[in-house]
Amino acid sequence: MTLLEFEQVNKYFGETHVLKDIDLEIDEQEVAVVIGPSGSGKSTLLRCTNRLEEIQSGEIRLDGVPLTDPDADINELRQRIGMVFQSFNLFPHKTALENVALAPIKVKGVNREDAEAEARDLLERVGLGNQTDSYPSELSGGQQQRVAIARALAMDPEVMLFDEVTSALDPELVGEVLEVMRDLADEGMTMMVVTHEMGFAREVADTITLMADGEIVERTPPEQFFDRPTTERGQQFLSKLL
Amino acid sequence: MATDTGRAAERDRGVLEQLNDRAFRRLGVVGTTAFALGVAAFIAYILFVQVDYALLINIVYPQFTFAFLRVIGIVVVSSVLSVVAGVMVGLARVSRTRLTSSIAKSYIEFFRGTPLLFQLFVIYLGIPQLWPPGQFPIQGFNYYAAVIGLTLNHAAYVGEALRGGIESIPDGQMEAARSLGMSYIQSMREVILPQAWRNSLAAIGNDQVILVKDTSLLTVLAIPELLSAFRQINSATFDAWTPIVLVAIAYLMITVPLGKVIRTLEERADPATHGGDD
Repeated sequence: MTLLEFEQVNKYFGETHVLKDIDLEIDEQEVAVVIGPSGSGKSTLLRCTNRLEEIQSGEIRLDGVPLTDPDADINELRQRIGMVFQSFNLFPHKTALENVALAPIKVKGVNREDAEAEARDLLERVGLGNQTDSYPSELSGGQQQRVAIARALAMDPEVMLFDEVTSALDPELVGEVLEVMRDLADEGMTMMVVTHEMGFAREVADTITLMADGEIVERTPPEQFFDRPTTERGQQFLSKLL
Repeated sequence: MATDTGRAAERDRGVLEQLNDRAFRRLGVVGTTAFALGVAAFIAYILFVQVDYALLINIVYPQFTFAFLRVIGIVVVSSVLSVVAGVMVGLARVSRTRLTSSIAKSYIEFFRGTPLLFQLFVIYLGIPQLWPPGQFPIQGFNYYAAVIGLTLNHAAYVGEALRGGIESIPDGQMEAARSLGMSYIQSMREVILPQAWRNSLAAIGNDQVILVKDTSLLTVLAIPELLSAFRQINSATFDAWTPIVLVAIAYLMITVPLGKVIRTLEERADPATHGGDD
């Protein structure tokens, strides 16, 4: 069943046409990995999905509800879409636990004790059960990113967006974050992942979406994409990686 | 000829090069010590020769004490109001609604761009004239005018300081908060303002110290504050130094502890040195 739907989405930054007639459907429990050269619009597509960027035409629907509708309750919809950023964006004045528990308390009105118990469980789940009282500045990049994933999960989202979440990490810290994402995928989370980690893409993705110049060039299962890409752009992109 | 000037330049450079870091530090120690000794000698001369202690005891209470308490009262009220109003100005200033932010900008430009003394006159003399002669209903309007003037003026500075603090927070903080479903107001209150407040605290504190000193202008509103007390005593006794000493002590008794309070707040707001923000 389709959970996230893009229909004829167009986005401009000033004169620059960064998303061109994007049509894309992501099924429930699908792990959709979006790859492509930098500047191809893949991060922008992700940011449009929870309206950190506004699109100029077309429609994006979550479970059939158009979230690009100007009248849509964007705060309600964003609760259903978790987002993890390249630069973590943890709240530096709050501990790991407070980072995770903040939105459930403030947005969902969960009482503090329940929210913190839940936050503890989530931090445990991302392997940080013993770092609940640490401030972000006391954590490594990989740990911070795992807290950021726990923070997004705390709102119990239906889909998770990952925007190049390992690109700012030291190489030796990439694995621990990918590990958490792999677990999440195994548990059946619907995920839209923009990444340069081709190993992860190949192993975890259900579909690979290749973007170039604001367009979707190819959308295939990973085996097919990595072994025999159908399009010339796909072949070019792969040949540069190898 | 050419070699002579060349040699002269070399000698000049030699002299400049002698001022290395160690010599520079020594120069600093000697210079500041000489300055401090001079000032100490001057203060001693003032305190032992110039100050009339019989007069001093006479004027400390009630005149100076009351002037001092009056200043503290005006400072406390204006300070609280100006910070509250300043937060609103700062939030309006960073609004993405252009109307709101440009009104806030104009406000800041007016109150920073005209003298406080002029603003005090506008309120103190201008406002009552909007009523028919003799009909202005507020008694003791000079105190209201003082608080209103100080508040409006310093709200502009606090607002601008807070704007700087807010703009120094990376966009990702707001994006992360919004992406969790928090509203703009919630994101501001929970995420942006606590961090911006920390960044603005030094500038806001600076401004509040200036607010204390700005109360000296209230002498023109016929408020018996410290400078009024000074002028009164000076014109009655022709003694300048005795009231000068009292005025200096009185202001420092407010500004020095205020500076300490601000530094403590800054340290407490910094999780790196403390570990908590609440």
